[in-house]
Amino acid sequence: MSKPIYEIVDALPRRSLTVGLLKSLDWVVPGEYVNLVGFEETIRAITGESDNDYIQRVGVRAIELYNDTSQGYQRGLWIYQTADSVQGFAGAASFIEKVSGSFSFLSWLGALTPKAETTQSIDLAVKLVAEILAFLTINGKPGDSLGEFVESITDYRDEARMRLATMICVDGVLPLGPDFLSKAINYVGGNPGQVKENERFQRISGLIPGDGLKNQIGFLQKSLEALTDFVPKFVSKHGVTQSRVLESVKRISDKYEGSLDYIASVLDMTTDYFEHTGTQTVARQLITRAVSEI
Amino acid sequence: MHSIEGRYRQLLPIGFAIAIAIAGGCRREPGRWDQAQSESEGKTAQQASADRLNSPESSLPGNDDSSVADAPPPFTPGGPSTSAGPVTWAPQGGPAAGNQPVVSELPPIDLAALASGEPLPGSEFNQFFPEQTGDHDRVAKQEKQGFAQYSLRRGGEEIAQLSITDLRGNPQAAEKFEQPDMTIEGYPAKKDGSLGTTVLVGQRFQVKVRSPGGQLNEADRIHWLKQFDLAGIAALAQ
Repeated sequence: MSKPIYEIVDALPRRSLTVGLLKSLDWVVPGEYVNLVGFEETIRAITGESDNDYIQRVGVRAIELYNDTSQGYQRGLWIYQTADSVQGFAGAASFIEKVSGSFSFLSWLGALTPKAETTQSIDLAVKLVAEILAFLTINGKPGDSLGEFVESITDYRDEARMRLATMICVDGVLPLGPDFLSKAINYVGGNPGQVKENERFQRISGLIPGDGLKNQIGFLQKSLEALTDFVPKFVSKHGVTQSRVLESVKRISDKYEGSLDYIASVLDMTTDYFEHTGTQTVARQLITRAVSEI
Repeated sequence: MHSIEGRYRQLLPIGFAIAIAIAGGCRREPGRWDQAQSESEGKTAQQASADRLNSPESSLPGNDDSSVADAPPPFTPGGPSTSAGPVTWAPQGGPAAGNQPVVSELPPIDLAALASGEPLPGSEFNQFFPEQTGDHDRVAKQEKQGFAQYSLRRGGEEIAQLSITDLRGNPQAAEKFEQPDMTIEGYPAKKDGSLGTTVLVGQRFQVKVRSPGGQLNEADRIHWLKQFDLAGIAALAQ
């Protein structure tokens, strides 16, 4: 039995490097993100209800739905957790920060080697595919037509929109520049050997559609290509540049210093925005369903 | 650069803290959700709901104890559950005056029949949701076995969540319709918390409109419930 959903949501930090990162990027999607933590608090916020008995019934149903593995919510959460940064480190980082009350431990990362652009590109592609897979696992294929489904999967709001914005800023623009998407498409297509060896890719490759490495890489590329219209518009509309992202990140801690690729790697190691907001997305969809079903 | 020893020294407090956290975790007091967790472990959501339906405590709390409805227990965030045992519907206001004669004409709900059999795929329900109109837009949000949900938008803002649930997946939810607050198009209907309204169609399908942001009042929600193809949904039960 995996950890109960209410414990997972209760354990989300109110304050951490990850939360600091998300808040520092609020200018990209103003007011979109509220750091909802705690199972009860999340139920209250999502349902708008305050009656204790009502909250209890929603919570009980959400727990039942989560525990039923055939419903897909556990797997959805697993995808978010698995596709995020090196397992455990971000959690440890937030824990140290809680205990020590400072970010001073970041200097401990002084010897970290920045990720190569190829690795960064593959990581970005894997996160993007993970996002699509998690959506399908959590929500099914909503809608009565292909058009409705496309509308559904692109209807990003709240923490999901924040996650996408952070992915574009921190995993895209910061290490690879504003034209990160075309770079990533080329790197992923041109380096099948490195894709195969990539740790993140290996973790979720079992869920990526397609027989064999070639077809799976094809799926990664198609997922990236699907964004070629959306991403440049997003970047220009919100004025996302390397220097603005860097400025935001430096506001979290003056320890985030050095070259852009180095800072991107340190952020990757010390934050878990993908898992943090992914957990919030799973909780939101689970609770929205539970309140509909009771 | 830091020496290796320096790095280990920095890690020492973490070790202590982890040990304290583990030790603390072992003595955790039972919380309000623990019972629901242990009762639903290893079960499908359908089984867990059927178990709650059949539980001898399923009429609790307060269906025949008016004090509970009059004075809900004080809320203690993070405290132990105030609702021992499986929780079912405890109406806050009771049926609206004047609706009783209508209610008595409704056929009884066969809860036992709901507790067996597979729910329909959610894709069966999409066609019965309200159509988009000039001012209102709808976006499909979830489609699972026995469940489909749309978000209703006005000017891009969500004003309601629309859903259809096959109660074969959650039979206990049908119990509340035995004492409906009203009827909608002849189907038993119920207030849902303070921000929702729900109707039971074909003795099996729960159609619900909720407005978590409070943009729709009850009359609006009833209006939107009537925009569903309720007869079409009822026909699925045949």
